[in-house]
Amino acid sequence: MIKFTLIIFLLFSWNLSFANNDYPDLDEVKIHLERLSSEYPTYFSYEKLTESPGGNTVFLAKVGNGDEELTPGLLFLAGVDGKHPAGTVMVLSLAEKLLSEGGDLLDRFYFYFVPVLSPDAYAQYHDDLQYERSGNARETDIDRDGRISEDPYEDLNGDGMITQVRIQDASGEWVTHEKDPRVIVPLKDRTKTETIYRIISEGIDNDKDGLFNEDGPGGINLNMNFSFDYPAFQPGAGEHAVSETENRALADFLFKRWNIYAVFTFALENNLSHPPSFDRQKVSRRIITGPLERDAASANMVSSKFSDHWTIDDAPEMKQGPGSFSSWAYFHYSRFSFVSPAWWAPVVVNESYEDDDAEGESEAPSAVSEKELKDNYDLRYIQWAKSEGIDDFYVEWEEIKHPDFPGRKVEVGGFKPFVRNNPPLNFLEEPIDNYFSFIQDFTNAMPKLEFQDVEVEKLERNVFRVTGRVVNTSLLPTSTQLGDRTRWVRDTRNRILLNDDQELLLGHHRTFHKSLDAGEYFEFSWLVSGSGSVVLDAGSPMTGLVEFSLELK
Amino acid sequence: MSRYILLFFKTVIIGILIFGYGSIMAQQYDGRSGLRAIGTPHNPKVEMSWNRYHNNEQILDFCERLVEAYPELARLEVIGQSYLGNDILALTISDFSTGDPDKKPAFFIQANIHPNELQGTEIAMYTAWYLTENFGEVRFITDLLRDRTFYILPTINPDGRDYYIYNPNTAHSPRSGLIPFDDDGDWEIDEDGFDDLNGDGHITMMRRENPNGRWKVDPNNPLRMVRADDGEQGQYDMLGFEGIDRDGDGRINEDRTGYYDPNRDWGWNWQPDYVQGGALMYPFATPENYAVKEFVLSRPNIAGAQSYHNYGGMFLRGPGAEEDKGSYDRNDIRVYDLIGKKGEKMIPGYRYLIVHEDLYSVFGGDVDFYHGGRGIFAYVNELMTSYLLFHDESQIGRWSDEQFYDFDRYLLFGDAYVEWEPFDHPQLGPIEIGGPKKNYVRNHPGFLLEEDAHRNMAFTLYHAHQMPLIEVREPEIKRLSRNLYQIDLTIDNVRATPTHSSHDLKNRISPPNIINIKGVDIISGMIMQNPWLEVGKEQHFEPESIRVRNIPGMSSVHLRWLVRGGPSNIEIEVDSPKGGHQRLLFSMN
Repeated sequence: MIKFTLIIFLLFSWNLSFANNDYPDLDEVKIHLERLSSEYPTYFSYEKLTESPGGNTVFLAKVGNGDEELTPGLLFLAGVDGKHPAGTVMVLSLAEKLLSEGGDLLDRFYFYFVPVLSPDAYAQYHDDLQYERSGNARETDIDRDGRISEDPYEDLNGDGMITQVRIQDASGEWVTHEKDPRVIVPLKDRTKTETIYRIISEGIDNDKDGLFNEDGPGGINLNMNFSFDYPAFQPGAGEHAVSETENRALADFLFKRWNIYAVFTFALENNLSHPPSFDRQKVSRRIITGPLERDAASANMVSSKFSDHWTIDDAPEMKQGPGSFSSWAYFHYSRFSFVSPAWWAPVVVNESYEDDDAEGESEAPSAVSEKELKDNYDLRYIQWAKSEGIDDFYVEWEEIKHPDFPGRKVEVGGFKPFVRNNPPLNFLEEPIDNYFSFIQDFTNAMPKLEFQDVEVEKLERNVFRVTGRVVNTSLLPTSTQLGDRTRWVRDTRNRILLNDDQELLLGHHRTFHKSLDAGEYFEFSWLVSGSGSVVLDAGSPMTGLVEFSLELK
Repeated sequence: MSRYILLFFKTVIIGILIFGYGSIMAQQYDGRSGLRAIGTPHNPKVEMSWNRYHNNEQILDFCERLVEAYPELARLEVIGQSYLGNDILALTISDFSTGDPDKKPAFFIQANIHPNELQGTEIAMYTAWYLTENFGEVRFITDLLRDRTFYILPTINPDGRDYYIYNPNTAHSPRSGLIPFDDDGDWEIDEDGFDDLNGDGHITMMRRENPNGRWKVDPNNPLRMVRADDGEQGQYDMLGFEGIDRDGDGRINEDRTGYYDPNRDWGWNWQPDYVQGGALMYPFATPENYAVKEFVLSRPNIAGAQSYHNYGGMFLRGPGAEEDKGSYDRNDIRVYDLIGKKGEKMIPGYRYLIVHEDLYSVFGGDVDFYHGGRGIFAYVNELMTSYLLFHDESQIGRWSDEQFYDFDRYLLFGDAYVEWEPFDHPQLGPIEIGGPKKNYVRNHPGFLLEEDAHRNMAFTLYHAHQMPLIEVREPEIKRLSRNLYQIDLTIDNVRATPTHSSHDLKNRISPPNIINIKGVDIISGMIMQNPWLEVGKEQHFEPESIRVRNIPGMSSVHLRWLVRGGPSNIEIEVDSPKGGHQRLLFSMN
């Protein structure tokens, strides 16, 4: 009952904080953080991580209490490009939900939040000209022709957003879907088709190089600018990996935070619904391109936990691209890295596929099979939108005169930007609840160390042998297996803390141990001269410390 | 004394014979110095000694004196700060009266990325000194500074340089800057570094007598330790470099100043530490490399680059890793080979090699970034080789230190080694300390430095000379009909390097060469593959500004415009990022 009230409160608070029941703009993101810090001053704080080339602030928020160095942490990040404001709402809402419902999690863990890593790109959603932007505001020559930003989009139909242009062209590669002309699909058989289209984004070829809108304002796509599998010289990738103030500041922060155990990203990529499988080929070269065996097993276990809590099925495959943040977080930051979209359209199978909005077709389209809906996300989205009574997702095709295609039939139209991956806000309630319970479950599986079988043997009047073992009693390992290979993940430290009258006859005060998988342990043995109390401790920033006291007598 | 008198008389007699007396007598005593040694600036405005290693303060002093002496040839700027806040200096050397130095094809020199590799700095400074002091004296140098710019960064690791010079170190340490890290993964930073136990300013070796040890004293050289033969009892254990176990972990010197390798930090094919040891968190994580990178990115006129390291006597080209082989195609390799093989002639004992094939695999090295990331032809010279000691052919390409002991005995008279002396070690007991000083083996002995500086500089000047150089021929005008004219223009690249390396072209790294024409009414503009057989391609968009992707080495590009009316004055402006900027007026009357 209490939980129910809290959810209502949360919903209510969005409506208050985000104007027009729409995705928050950058100011509203900040207001949200300010509000949380005034409502939860003990546990919540936020800081400016850096400033983007466009002069926008990248914020980092923190939930937790106590010794940050030795309290396990989790990072939640969104807005690595500008296409997915729903991810930002997920991050903001998770922070709030943790604060209001997290209970003892707030004392046991640190939670870090980056709601918008690329604010310059994010801002385009609320700009006078709305489009799905990936680049920050750094001035670049994206197409490397010596001219800077000379070929941007143009809003040819004056509707304030960038959609698509289709040109009737027998040499094109696209046709409309037989079941729904709003959906454009690749041409399969040229002989069987009457109308073939060439598809470009909305705009003209300003520099007459045969490419359309290939060099608009900005910038570097941060989700192509991380160092794993960095796509050098691809449009938007920049001049070298991790070149931007946003991602350098983030990396600087992360590499100082030894306690961060796992990274959760919201982006149009999905390794939670589609976890990677172990591929020996990929890990047998010196540059590894797939997860190590034990990490793949852990990822699959976490993925199944995700599925237990997540209520939207049939996740479309969305790969982590070259230079992406989420790949980097595993391969170069050596932490567990999980990524998924905030939402996707579920498959809704109707008896018939009739749609009054479908334009220009004389016959009513026949029903669409479940398989077709699973295979074609656009069809699926339309069907879902219809079932929810959403009808403003599409710009009907409208004929225009295009200077680059004189004498051809040219139309502007297509899906509105953002709609297919960013539903109306109220549809995020369920994903937020789901994700929150997934995270609770995840924290339960995080590594726990325990001293076991600790024994003291008295060898001589004043000489003692202390032996025992430290076990990981939880489901996840103390760090990734990959973490054992890099200096950026700390080994588990095991210490014996003696008093002034004691001394070690054999062994060192501190020993260090590689990652412990579930159920795995290491053993210790010390020879101590001198009686009295002794404290043992074990742990790492990712597990926290456990202590064990004993008496030598 | 009598010899000098005799010499004097001879001179006077010859003088009388040729000129008659009067003036000759005065000429002997007017205070001028002796005869110019060929190849060396005579009476330099900036006095320098090229037989020592300069610290940061002296480097700055040299740069400032150079700029003061040659304000029309030298400029000094601070391009950024090191981790400790030291300035990173860049000299720009060019004839400023013949054009904007940032538009001339430029040669880039960086040195001392590894602090213990001192001599690159001296060679970089020698180059700046030699160029300015010989401007107007040596025609080749005068022309070179007319056509080219040199960006010279004497040290890109000032923190490490002074640390190496002023703190006890080995010949091999540190190789990094001074950002502190936890080297041994025990959650503590730099807690167990070297200890200069005998206080001589050098970190040398520790040995302990052991009748069953595996080491013995070289019978030919009491300073040198050699392994006992198999089946032979030795005399000593070797205990590593001077130090004590400060953190009680059973290891000595395992967490000292510097750990990372700043030459695994460059943003081409960068790999993390578990693939490439020495790498930091991400490319250009050190402020020093970041500043250098920004400097290079903002200067698209850089067409050639040189990085100085030590040692082994090598001209190295990339790729650093086999995985990057595709970045070096045949056309680029031809240019590399031309210059590299010339280098082998210019510096006896040095060999032209490929990093990953002949040396070891490196991801994220400096030359990899220059070639791979910027499309710039770039070499690493590994300075100093044991060949330089006795010019022994068997020492070419060898890293062995055998001859260094003999060299010390016969030419350095024992200056290069600390003799073994007993020491009472708090943990290891009675030991002996001794071995090569930190400034021996890797860095040149003083009297070898100037010669090698000159030879290595000459290698870079050859490379700089072969950078692309654009020349514009006089346009040819042909009347096609009453009001229609054809202008043909040929632009030559008169050097071996293309305006765009193949790697640059493939990845569109640098903007194209742009040829603007003014003063004509253009109907069409085209790039002609064969102007005599009318083979060519039109550029529809902005035909007054033809964009040529590349002009290969020793090649030409032919442009043609069709224009209305007979041209009288034509202005041609060529903007080739790496081939030069030129504006020419042609009067056609």
